[in-house]
Amino acid sequence: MSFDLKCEVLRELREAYCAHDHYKVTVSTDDWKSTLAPVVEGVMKKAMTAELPASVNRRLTWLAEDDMTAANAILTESEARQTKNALALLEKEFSNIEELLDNARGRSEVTHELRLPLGTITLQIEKGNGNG
Amino acid sequence: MDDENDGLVPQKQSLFPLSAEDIVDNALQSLDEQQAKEITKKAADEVVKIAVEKRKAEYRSDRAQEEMRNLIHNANLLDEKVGDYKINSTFETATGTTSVEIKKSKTNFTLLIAVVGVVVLLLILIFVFLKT
Repeated sequence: MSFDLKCEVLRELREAYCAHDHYKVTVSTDDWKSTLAPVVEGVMKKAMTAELPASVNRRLTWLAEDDMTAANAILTESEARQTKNALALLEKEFSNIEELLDNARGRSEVTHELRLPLGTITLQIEKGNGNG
Repeated sequence: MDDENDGLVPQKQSLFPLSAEDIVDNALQSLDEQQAKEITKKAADEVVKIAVEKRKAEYRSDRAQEEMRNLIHNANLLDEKVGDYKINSTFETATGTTSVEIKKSKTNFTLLIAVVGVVVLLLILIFVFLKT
């Protein structure tokens, strides 16, 4: 099996077997950053320490080969970068949502499902009072 | 990117004593030339993949912004022409899915006013009846 294929199988295994946490948080357009920070930290920590169950490692002996250490490191780093990219884009998403809430003049309810590698955060978003 | 994530991405990133780069470097030293080549190529592919995903996410964000503006426009049109309405929309955004519900219920408000009016009238009648 090529290294590339091993990496892709490993990625699938991580998605299938590593626990995916689901958080639910209520935030306002003013305080979303401070409310979200500890939750994001938890998801990132989880992604960086995620390990396959021992039963899977026992069955797939190639997972113990030397090059798999590098494969794991590449995938972990990749997930961390994807998370950082998502968080950078969240700033604009919140700006869009704030615009929507402003223009909806109290008629709307907004929920955002933030999907991160190895974790999903459901955000119930309320309009802030502009102090953020 | 770090500036954009100000306050959201955990500052203490060193969950491991070794970084992903250190692990890959160590792995490269203990593997043969072919394996090292494969690992380097995979790491480079992953960086490109993340960059492409980021571009796609930015595009989804722009499109979601436009769709949200259209939604508000349609809600405003309904406001002028219809008494009661409810719109449920979902948008695929850069970081996940945003669900929006916009509703207006003129009937409920009218009903509430009518009920309050009847109660007040009844109280007045009871008060007058008790006085006489």
